[in-house]
Amino acid sequence: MAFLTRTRIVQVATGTPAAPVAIADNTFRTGAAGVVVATMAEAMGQVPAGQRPPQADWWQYKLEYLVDYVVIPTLRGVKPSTPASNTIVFDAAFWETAADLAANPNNPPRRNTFSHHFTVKSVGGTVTAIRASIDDYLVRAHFGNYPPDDRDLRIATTTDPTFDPLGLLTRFAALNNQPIAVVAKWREA
Amino acid sequence: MATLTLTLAASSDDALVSDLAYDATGTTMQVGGTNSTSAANTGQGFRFTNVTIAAADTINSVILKLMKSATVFSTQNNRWVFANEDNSATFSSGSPPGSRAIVATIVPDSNNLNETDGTVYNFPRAGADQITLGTSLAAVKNRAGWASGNAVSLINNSKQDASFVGTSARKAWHTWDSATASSEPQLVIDYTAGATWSRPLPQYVPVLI
Repeated sequence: MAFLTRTRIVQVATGTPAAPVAIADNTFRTGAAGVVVATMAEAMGQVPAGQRPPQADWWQYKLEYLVDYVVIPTLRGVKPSTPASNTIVFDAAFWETAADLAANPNNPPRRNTFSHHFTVKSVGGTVTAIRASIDDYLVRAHFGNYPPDDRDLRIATTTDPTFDPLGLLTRFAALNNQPIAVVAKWREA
Repeated sequence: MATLTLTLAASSDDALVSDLAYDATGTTMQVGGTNSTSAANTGQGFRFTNVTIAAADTINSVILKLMKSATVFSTQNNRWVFANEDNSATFSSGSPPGSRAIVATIVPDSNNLNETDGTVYNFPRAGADQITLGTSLAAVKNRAGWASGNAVSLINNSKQDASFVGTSARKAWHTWDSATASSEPQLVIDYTAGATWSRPLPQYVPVLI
């Protein structure tokens, strides 16, 4: 389940901690393929000693990870409650590549359940928020060593629009059962 | 882990007391260390309702997501901890975040970063700290009076924290009252579903007559 495939160090500042100066992201060092480390100390440890910045300057840098995956979100419904919960529930199945999905569509190497609450104000960004939630999860799953199938099958749901005053079911339709490919994208932890 | 994302649902569910007065209605909130240790019940808080986590579930990590107001490169000192309450009530001037009893697991989370206006950031930043914040929430979930669907409050720089530091290191973040769409604070909980509850079979004891 190597959805995260590479680590890089990006310099984002110069100056001192008391007087920092922001700079445009500058890739300082890209690690080897297949090497994913959790901390700046580990990443800096792979930089040759003569090129490694002093530890006092490491605050100027951040880590990013190369992610590659294909995800298919599948709608389960909204939580049925009165007043309305305004919470949509969906499962997401992850494959590393489109080729993996084509070869093994019934056995995703990672699965999870997402319950996402929205409000009248945030509902306009439903699709964006759901996609961000999926992206974030994959990074946490990697470093938290989450189990490959961690769906919560207990959650009661309904597709009755009576329980969906925000129209979440309609908004989700653009994502439902559609493969979304995120290929070679650098993400912060 | 299954993922539960909760969005702040009311104006009074985010509030603070700093060197200024109690404020629950500002469109932005100064989050971080304040420069007044003398103010009673100093601290910021975020209350989330309908936390559908059962006592038997395992909480693996917790993240607070906030949207930045104004681009700033400076330090922010946080000490995140959950209120030690079965079903946390919304905040008021008589019951501000910093006055609430807190659990033992506190997550220090300091940074010196350039953060961009309108961008959503995770707190705490480090993955290991997000796991520890999960432990803090688990202490609430493990209370005898906890029930799935109750409300929780995440407190920052609580005056109830014995190692509370009053150094001014804070930044402005959007609140529930912000006019910006999708800017309400969110709580993201990764959890593993516990065993399904089942009724034990009745036990029949043979009786000799």
